[in-house]
Amino acid sequence: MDCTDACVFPYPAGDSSVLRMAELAAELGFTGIVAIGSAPAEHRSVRILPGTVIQETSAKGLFGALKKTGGGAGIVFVNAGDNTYNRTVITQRKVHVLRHLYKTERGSFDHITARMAAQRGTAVDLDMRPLLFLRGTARQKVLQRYRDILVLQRHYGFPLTISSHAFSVLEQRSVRDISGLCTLFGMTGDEVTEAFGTIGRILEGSFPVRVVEP
Amino acid sequence: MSHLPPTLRTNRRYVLVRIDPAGVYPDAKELYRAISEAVTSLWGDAATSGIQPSVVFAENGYAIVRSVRGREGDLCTALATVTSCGDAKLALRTLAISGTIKSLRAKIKTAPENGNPDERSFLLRGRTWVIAARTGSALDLIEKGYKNTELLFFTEEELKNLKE
Repeated sequence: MDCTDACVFPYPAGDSSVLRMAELAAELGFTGIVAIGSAPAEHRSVRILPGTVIQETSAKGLFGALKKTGGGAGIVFVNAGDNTYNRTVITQRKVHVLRHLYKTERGSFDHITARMAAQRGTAVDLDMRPLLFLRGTARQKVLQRYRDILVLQRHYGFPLTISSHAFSVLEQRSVRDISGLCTLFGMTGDEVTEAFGTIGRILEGSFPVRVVEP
Repeated sequence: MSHLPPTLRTNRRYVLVRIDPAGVYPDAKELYRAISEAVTSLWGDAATSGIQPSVVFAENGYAIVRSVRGREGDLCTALATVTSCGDAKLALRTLAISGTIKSLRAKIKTAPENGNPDERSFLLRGRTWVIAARTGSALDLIEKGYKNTELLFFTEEELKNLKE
């Protein structure tokens, strides 16, 4: 079973080297990690996939950043913005995953963007970091956003990815822990398993453009 | 005080956790406070009273945490949200769940090494780092100097390529 942590930040962005993170990922039950800014490799049966994060707020900036990403960019993540920006992001062929939706306004990802994401095969990332580090109202808001995304996902069927966004080995969590955290916003075990396999399917290119009924 | 007969006692489950990073040994009280805060903030007061988390023991980088039987899953989810204990950053890795403490104690491996197993130093981020702990090929580095607490996590393989 393919089980990939969709986003980790190894040294120098974080405090842990990529091999150390891969070693721990193997212990925690993962078969792969997407390491931002790393080269592709394999370590102790864990596949290390390269990834790039684009942090732009305008469409112009996004196009510029996408032009700069070459063939070795790997999995391309783009930080979400307002609704118009998100629609632009989703329509870009080079973009694989829309991330940080929990940081945006509630209407930034609606039924239309959800349908577009399903048609294009663009994934939406569920970041576990805020569930670990936030407390109180802030965490409740994140859980509510994830619940909203899940409602849209169940209706339109766009892919989801699950990531720890770990900057350190101390922030990585096991597959079982993450499954437990995902149940907090109503994800089932099968949905979690499918979300862990999304990165593998992106690499295989098995998300053909499809027509989604409204 | 007389004890309840066994048939009337609440059934418990025990969770064995490893405390990462190696060399961080919080005492049971501190750890209980961190776990209690995590459980309460995640599940709320009412549910926490139903889980009844408590730390049975914490030593040599391992801890056994107790909960009411049937609520150990909730406890494990909450344990995943523990990110610090006092001033120390740490992670609690659930290793096993059992109905008896004895069987969990049998699963505890030898304590991870602490201290400075060798004297090598490395230049990273423009600063000098020394080895704080070693577990297999994994090396935890700490910045040279008695006041520093920041850690870096590498493997032996990667550090071989670095200039000492």
